[in-house]
Amino acid sequence: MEKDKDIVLQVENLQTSFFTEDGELKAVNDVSFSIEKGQSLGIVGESGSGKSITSLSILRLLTGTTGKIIGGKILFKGEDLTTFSEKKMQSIRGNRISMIFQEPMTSLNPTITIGEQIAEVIRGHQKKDRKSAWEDAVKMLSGVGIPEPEKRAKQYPFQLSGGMRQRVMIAIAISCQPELLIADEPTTALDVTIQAQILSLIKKIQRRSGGALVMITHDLGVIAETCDAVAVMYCGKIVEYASVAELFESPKHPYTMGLLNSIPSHETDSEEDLYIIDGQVPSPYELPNGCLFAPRCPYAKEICQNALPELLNLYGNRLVRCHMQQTEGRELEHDRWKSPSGS
Amino acid sequence: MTGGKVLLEVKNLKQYFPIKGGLIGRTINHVKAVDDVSFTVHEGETLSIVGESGSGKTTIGRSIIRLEQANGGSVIFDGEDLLSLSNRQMRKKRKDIQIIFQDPYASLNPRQTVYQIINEAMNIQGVGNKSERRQDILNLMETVGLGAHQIDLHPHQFSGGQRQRIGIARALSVRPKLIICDEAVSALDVSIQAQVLNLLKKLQRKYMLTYLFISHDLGVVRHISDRIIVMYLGKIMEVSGKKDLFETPGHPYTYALLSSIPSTKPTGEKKERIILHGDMPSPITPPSGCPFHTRCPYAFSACDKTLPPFYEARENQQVSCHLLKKGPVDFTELRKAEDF
Repeated sequence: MEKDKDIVLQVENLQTSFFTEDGELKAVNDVSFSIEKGQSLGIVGESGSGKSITSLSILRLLTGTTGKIIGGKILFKGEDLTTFSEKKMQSIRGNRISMIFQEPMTSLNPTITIGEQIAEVIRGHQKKDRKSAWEDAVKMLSGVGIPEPEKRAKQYPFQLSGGMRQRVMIAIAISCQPELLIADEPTTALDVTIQAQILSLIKKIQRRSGGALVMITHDLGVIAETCDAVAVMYCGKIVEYASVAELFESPKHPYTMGLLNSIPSHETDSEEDLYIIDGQVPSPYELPNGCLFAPRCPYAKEICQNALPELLNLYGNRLVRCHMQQTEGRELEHDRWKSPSGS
Repeated sequence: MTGGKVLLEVKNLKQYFPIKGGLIGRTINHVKAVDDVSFTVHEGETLSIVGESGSGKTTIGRSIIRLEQANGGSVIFDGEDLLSLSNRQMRKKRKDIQIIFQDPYASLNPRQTVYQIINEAMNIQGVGNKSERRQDILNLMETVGLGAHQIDLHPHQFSGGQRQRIGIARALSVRPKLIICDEAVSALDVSIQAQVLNLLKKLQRKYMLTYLFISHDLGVVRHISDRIIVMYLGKIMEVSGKKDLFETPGHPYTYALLSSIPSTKPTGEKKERIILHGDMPSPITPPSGCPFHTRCPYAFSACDKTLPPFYEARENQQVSCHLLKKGPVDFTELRKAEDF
């Protein structure tokens, strides 16, 4: 931890649960990661893996739901956000930590011009008058590649295309030069050609500002394009953590292997069936006792059914939560996946 | 695969949606969702239609099965023009053409059980023997990977992937020849998507099905298709065999589309990327000439004047682009040479 001063965000043993009529739902279950200045971390997982709840927990946006952070620390520049008052959080949100959401139409106010929406954020956090905040807003719009920014600033969200709206969201998010930017599925609602524009914009902004980026997505391609490191989540837990290059070259967790194998590629031809991960994600109310992936894992042994594996550090920040890696540390043979069954 | 007999022939299909305006709600303009589109589907093949939102790919599927009333052209299925059939005749015809929708939540009746959902489809089309109906439905459920104990459950008791399986079982129950899959796997997580794709392939082999597969996901399309149609603003840009489309795309739009998909290959061998500027123009006021010319990095004087005809780039690859007048273009080479 000698590089402590460069660490922007350190999440330690975060636990977030929802308390519903059916019982406690552990959405985020003992998650730890850290991210340094200038670094971009991807969090990838399927629906229900807890990736979005992790980001909402960091910004303490769970009020009004039945969700609650019940354990762990969220250290932002050394200060624990979980102990902050709502008022103190408001001075951080949109200012030092910003978030870009998936749906730009529902996250923008339809009755206010986009220039005013950006200026509002600037005036909320900085001592600026209307005029100079408006000028800043126009500058931000041109910075995110919106043509004719003066004209566009006076328009309403419905007058913009989906890609333009996402650019406005990004302009709002970076208007106060945040130290940490969290992007939650920022391109999922967009077409691929527009997605390419937005991803390249996010990368450019991050390089320019030197801030930290957390990219939350279900799309491994987006991770490969934008991130340095990646955490794979399954059922509320991190099951693997690696640099992006290592994750794609040699995935260590059977779930990651299955995930990578089940994506049909546009880059290679295959007449064969896709590898599949059998079954489905277990219900969050009835999580298995042992390894959470054991019921679907082609390598599972007795120990996997009974004990939850630790997140083991294989070497220099290469983490895997799998008994097979821990007891034997061996390469898992790929051919276990070759028999698509059941479907 | 393309050697089979022609099952479906779409000729000059036009589907315009009126825009009402003014005080008395007159039609003031049209959205040309599908504008003069022609193609054929052969028996036993999977023909995919790809494109971005607003390209008209979904509308084509809906016009074929007459969920929309087309404004022009013809849809010849098994020798008969579907567009000239009466509603009653068309209902009968839907025994042969089924559709699977994107959203399995919205396309199943929440008040019905799996048995009732499938039974209703079979009743309407008069398929099979009523006394053996329950057994038939159980067999269908087994085929699509659902358990016999689930026959009396309601849609909300299933996961998204399972609901899509119910939709597939319902489509299969009337023993169709052609299934239109409209973004059938888009709402599913990748691990579940893989299961459903494998199932669709298995069913195709088993029942000699023909698929018209509508999708925006080029990875999925490469996996499942024999041939692919690329659409942009209601027009076909390129029709190509799968291998040619991905290895030597004929149209600059196809080339840009392929290069904008994030690659999951480890860094180092990343391909060069073109980022198209701007957005797709409005289909209400499409550009003159080639609809893609406003975003095309290679556009020249002819492009905003006339709609390019289809040129044969390779055997089995037709491309609507003026650049191909003198033969196929290698875009990778072209980019190197002109340093875009």
